[in-house]
Amino acid sequence: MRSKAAVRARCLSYTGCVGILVLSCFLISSCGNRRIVDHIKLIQSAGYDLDGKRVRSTILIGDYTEKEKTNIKILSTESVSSMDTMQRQNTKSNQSLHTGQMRLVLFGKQFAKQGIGSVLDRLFHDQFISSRLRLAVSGTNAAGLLSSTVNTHDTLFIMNMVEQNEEWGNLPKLNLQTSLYNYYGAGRDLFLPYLILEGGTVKIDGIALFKDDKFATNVDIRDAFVLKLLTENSRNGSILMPLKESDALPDDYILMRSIASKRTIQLVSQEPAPVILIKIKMKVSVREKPEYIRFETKEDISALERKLAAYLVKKAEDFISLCKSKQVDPIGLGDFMRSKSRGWNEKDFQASYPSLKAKIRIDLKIVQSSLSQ
Amino acid sequence: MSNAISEKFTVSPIHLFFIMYVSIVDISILSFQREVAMDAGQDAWVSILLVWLSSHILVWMMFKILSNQNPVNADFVSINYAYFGKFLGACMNQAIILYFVLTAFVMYRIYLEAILVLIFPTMSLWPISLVFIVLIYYAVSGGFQTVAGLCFWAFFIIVILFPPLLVLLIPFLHPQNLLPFFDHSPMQILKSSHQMALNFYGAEVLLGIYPYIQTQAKSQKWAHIAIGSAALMFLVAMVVALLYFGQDQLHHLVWPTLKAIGMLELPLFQRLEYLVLSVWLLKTLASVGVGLWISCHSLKKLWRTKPSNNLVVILLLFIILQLFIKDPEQIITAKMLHTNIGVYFAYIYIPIVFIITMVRKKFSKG
Repeated sequence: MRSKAAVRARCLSYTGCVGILVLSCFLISSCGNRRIVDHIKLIQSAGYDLDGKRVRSTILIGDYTEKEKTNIKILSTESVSSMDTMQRQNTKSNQSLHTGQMRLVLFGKQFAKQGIGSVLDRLFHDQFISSRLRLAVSGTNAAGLLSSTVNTHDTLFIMNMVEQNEEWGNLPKLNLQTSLYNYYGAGRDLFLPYLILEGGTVKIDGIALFKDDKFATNVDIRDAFVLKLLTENSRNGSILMPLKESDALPDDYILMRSIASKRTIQLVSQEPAPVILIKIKMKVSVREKPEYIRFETKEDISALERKLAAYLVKKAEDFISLCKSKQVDPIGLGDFMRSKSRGWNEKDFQASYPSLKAKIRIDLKIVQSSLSQ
Repeated sequence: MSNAISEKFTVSPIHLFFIMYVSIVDISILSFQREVAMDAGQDAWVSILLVWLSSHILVWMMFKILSNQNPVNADFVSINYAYFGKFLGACMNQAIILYFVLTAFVMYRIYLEAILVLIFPTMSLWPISLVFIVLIYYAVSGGFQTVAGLCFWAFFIIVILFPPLLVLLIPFLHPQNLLPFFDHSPMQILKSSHQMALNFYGAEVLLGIYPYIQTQAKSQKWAHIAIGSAALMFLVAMVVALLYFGQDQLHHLVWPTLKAIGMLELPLFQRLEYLVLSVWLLKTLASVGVGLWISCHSLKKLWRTKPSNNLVVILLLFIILQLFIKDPEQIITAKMLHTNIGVYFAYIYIPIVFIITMVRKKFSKG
């Protein structure tokens, strides 16, 4: 039997425990700088441009003073380096600027040509930056692209646009972490969405390929789909295939939409030059086709399947030879070779990269998706 | 010799599992990957397996040592007195107690440093450390059962936090990073195993708490399960870091586990690493508690002082140490000192005592 005194002591000790915990909550929350959301400004999108030799940075901040409406505030500064841009922006703002909610960093083409490594390094080492931030390259300058989204009243317009295109369109899935993985990883190169301004609105034009941290070239949105197939097990994305070799009329095309694709890589032979086999298994549905293409027999369908697959193989081979000529490796073939060979080193691979042979085999299935024939 | 220790102070054998698990899985689970992968690269998992195996052998040795003692006196204080004589034994006891104090201090200080670096860079450390020290006093003065109970909750936190988060990370992993297998020389693997051993300490708490476990014969399996599950956790954390970052990115990272968790987003939680680090307070409290409880009780045996007074003295020592160990370099020096002593303690002291025990047993029989 427990005595009354023991029970009381126990109760007291519990209250003591709770008391200390509550007290500690108060104490801990009172130390450090407080950052109340109403009293700070959250940077949502940012851009870097090269202006001669100076770096111009542009940021978008949401202004939520009006009810149910976001007004976008643009701040822009110039500096000799990209390092102190935030500090310079801060001198133009009535409330302190914070990067914890930053979701997009856009690089102007000139800036990207000069190298984005130092910015990537900083984003990587800043513990307040989210790994889900997105990076993109602007075909013109980043400031123009960002300011063209002001009347959308959405500070994350470009970020949302890129995100939905990764989900439903032709862009490969990317975010800060995957981009850094490509950037730091030996045997793989960085690639980012490439945006342009068309008639005053932003448009995704394809993919920008990087050599180390410098912009090398850009490819169009169809090649973006090819890259999506080559780098990941993807969903969605579509491609238009011409049915005739030359002088095709507007109706001589077929639009197919990928439902799902699965990629596997094999090493066929190591010597003398490495041969790699990339197998892609994919299901597509035919969205649009001219009248004269009919799916009446099984042979019709398999003939079209072969034709589509051959077209995609050709596209992929062209893409890889472009990569080889620019000495960039967005697919990560070097990394694949590393995983298959002992004592691999990046320099030797770079030397053998132009002679590397990548065979593509596409196993494509047409899934009937429409109710009518 | 007195009879068995009263039931008021002992815990059932399953608690040995919680205490050992919590002592081994400390804050280094959030940060050990870089050092271990530095030499062995993608083969770092091999070194974890090696350390795992060696830890099982150490636990087996410890149980052999402890089960050959009088159950009430089966702790390192009595063993050192019996094996090394009064003077040398006392010296060794004091050194070991200092080691446990240092363990507790390093855990406490590194946790505070993590908060400072990752959550509140501009915060002054004193308010939070004073609250923490009061909490530690409260936990340890509650006795062994309180500390064991805390360990249970700390284990519970680790189990509900980590496995779901690691599962959520699966879509972001690159299995190719583990290939090719065994691309490193045995020397590199050994170097990385040494690094791993520096991060995988804590099993030695067994030498301090053994008398307070009920039905000691049944407790050995719990100790082995604790080693096994803790090592599995380290292994999973290592493999996830390798597959998520790749070696090249991992070389730049101090807190790989936290950085990887930062990728995840749950409804209402955009930045999970803050949640993990905040809840980790309870975990740190538990492991600091175990270390300090052992120190206080061993001091009581050594000098016949009151444990609560010992605790106050040790916590004052914490405050003094905190005055001197301020910047990250000093913390790393303290950590290196502590982990190196820990490795010698585990891999030299325990085998020597094991051999002495076996020899004595043979002679007393013969």
